[in-house]
Amino acid sequence: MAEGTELEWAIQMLVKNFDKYSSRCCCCRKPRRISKKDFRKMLSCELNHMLTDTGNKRAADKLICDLDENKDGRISFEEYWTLIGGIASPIAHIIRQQEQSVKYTK
Amino acid sequence: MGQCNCRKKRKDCQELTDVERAIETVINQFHCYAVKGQKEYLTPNELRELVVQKLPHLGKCVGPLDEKIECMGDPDEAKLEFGEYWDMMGDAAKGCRRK
Repeated sequence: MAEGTELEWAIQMLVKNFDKYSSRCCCCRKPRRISKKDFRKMLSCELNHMLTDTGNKRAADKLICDLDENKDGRISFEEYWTLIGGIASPIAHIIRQQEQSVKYTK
Repeated sequence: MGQCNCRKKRKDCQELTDVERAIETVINQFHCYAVKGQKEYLTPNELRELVVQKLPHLGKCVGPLDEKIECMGDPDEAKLEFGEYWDMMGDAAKGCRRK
C-alpha cells in the first residue's frame, strides 16, 4: 500500500512490529505469537519512552501475565493489540487533559 | 472537518520510536475527530468521517460501518470510547495482516 493515510501507516507499523517479534511455533500452522522473552525485548526496544519502567522485569511479567488470556505463555496478535491499547488509553487521556488545560490558561 | 490541526507533536518526538509514533498517531486521530460535545467520545458521524477519510484502504476491514453505528444505539446519544475505537483499529489491523 503505497499511498495510505497517516492513520493507515500507524496501523501497519503496529502490525509490522508484531511480525518482527513474533514467530511460529515449530512446524505447526498455529498463528504467530510472541514469546515472553521477545515480548520483553519488544517493550524495552520499542516502547522505552512510553513505558518508563520497562526495565522493571516484574512489571513486564505482570503485564504479560494479565495479558496472556489463554495462559499459554505466548502472546497472540489480539493480546498484543490489547496491550498496546492499554498503553495508549491512559496516554490519550493525558493528552486530552493537557489540551484542555492549555485552553483554560489561554 | 477533515482538515486536521492536531498534528502538534510532543517535544520529545525525535526520540520516539516508530512504534511509539504510530501509537501517538492513532491517539491523535481520535482526538482530531472527537470534537463535538464530550471530547472523550466519538459520535456516530465523527466515526463515519474518520473511517471514510482516514481509512480509505483499511476501512473495509473494520466491517460494515452502518451496522457498527447502528449498534451504538440512538444516534443523538451514541458515543464511542477510546477503547472501542482502539478495538476497531484492531479489526483494521487484522485485515491488513490477512492481505
